[in-house]
Amino acid sequence: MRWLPKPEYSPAETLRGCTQADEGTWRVLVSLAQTQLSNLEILQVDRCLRRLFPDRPPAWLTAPGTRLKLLGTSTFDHLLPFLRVGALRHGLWLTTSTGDYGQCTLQAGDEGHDTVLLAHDARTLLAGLNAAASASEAEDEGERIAQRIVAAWRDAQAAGCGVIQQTILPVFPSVFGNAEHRLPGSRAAAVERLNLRLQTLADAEGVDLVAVHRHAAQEGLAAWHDPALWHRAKQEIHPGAAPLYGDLVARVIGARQGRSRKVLVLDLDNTLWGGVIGDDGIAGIVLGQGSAAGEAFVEFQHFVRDLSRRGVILAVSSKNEEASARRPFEAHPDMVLRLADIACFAANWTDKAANLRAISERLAIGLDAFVFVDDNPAERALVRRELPMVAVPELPDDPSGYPALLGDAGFFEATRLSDEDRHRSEQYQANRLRRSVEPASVTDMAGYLSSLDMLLHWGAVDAASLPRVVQLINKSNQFNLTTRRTTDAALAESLRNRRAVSLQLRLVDRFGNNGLIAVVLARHDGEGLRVTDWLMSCRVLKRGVEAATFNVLLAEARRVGARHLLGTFRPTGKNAMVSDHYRTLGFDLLATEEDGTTQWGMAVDAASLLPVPMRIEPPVLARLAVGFAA
Amino acid sequence: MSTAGILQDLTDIVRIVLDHDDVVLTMATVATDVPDWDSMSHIMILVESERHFGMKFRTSEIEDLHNVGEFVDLIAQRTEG
Repeated sequence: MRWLPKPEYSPAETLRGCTQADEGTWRVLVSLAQTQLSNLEILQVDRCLRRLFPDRPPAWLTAPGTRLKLLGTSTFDHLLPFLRVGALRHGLWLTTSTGDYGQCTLQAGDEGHDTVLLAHDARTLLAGLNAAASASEAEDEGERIAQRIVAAWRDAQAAGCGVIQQTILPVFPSVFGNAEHRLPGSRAAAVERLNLRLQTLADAEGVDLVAVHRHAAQEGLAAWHDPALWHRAKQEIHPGAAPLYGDLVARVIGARQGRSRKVLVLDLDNTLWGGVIGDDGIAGIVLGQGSAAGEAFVEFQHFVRDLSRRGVILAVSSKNEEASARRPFEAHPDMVLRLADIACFAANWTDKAANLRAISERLAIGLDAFVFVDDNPAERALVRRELPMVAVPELPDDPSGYPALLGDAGFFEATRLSDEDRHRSEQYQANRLRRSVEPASVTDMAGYLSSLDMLLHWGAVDAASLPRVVQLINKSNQFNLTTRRTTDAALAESLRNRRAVSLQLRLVDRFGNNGLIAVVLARHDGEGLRVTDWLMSCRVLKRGVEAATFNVLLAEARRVGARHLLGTFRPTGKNAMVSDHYRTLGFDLLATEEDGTTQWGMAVDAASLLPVPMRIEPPVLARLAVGFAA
Repeated sequence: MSTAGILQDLTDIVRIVLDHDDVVLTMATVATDVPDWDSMSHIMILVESERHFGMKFRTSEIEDLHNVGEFVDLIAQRTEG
């Protein structure tokens, strides 16, 4: 289940802390179940779960507990822990019991469960089919099998149980070849026909299917079934598939209780298209024909639109100027999604957890029905930390994998399609909810930032970093104080001046190396150290890099003996987000020019370092001390 | 991988599968010496060992095993091969 994040702490360690049967422990167990665990770790989670919450659903759960009885003809004891932990992952409490081996119908007086999961193994079910059978014999046998299954459903329903049927696993090798379907007595072909037949029958009888045959087709039969384990232990479902099997059953149970997720919140840059709209512009983003990545983003948008058409509500949360974030929706020829598809549009610079809260309020839908999709691991970590009830899938590096990942994760599992589903997005449009959202942050940013374990490396621009520095200078539009473009030769020439001060900054965090993310160019002109260029990648916005860069700059000012720090903001129409940059850092406004350009200054002696949530390498404190001494 | 190392890893797996933290395996241990080592947990131990050591055992190899030592030797052979 590759959409689950890796656990932040060792699962064994977490489980050792789970001793009280209280709500806090329950939540810890749910979060743990929502991470990638090995089979043995799931086994340990299950033991803890059963020890603390053995007999009845915890009082604080609004969802009813499920008492599941498994009936079938193979061994499924090895699946039980995975069913219980699968339910836990969906916030559900579930106990399991099993019928006698080989027993597929409820016995009279067999009570104490509310849901029956029927799991027929293919070999037993189709044992009566002879490869030499005529077409009518094969058809009769197929129908007999189907009706036997239906009879078992009705027995369970008569006993007051809901019924879930596992489809038949296609374990039989082909005996006829590509034309397998032309051999009436083929068991491989019979399984295919039976699974189709079960779909029709299940609809008529109010039964829900767990479509293992589709997963076996998708992930390969070997992932689901090992004949050796069948012969050794009558295990039809491979233990390796047990975690997903448990999740599939839990999805169906959750969907029956109306607990599936309903809202998909999407990031924009590098999620719906490649590149950064605020920097690259509408002609520069990667979307549509002409590049493989551009086509992959188009396909993802088609997938998202399909979700919307079946009733999933779409929202946007993007760190952008609102006008530029909307531009592709309005004007890019290859955009599949349109503003009309988006129920709530939140493009601003506030943290995403605050935006998700605001979207939830606006839509009047709880955050536990939200899925948040963002390519940036730091954003995902923030939302997971602040809003653990929101589902936040890990994404593959390549956008071509986004649709399959989201499809496989099954967040939007549904059992029936209603008319309301078909028209839901229109309803939200009709309600005129599609307004923009601008929340106030109430997120614990300090705690989050310190959890990122950030390290800022800085140095002067040198020959090695020059090409990348020039690239960043020429493509940054939004966080760019003066937006002066340059060339390799021109920058190299200006850096040769002995009064030039240059900084290039790189940021590493626990998700990896963000590379070169900020550049400052300045010149010591007697009056002070005058900052001519200050720009930063928006990817690391709101992470304290601005303040840390200021600290480095202040240290440099002291090193060169400057009495003042001077800065300029020149508006371009795209860089409104930094109009107050110098004020925020404690500079005084010196002058405002006709074109809106502002000049700022600060006395170096009076200035002090700002608190920052990261280590700076080389550290600036030592350098400041030298500055003071000198 | 050394015999002792394999035995230690195997002990860790058995402890988790059987939920007995104090199980101590030796080369001479047989399943019936260990509480709760039944046919069902036996399969789980084999499957988890396959996963852990990155190998797949033949049914005939499994059926020939008489004690933990023979299992450790089988894994050791495979690791070398």
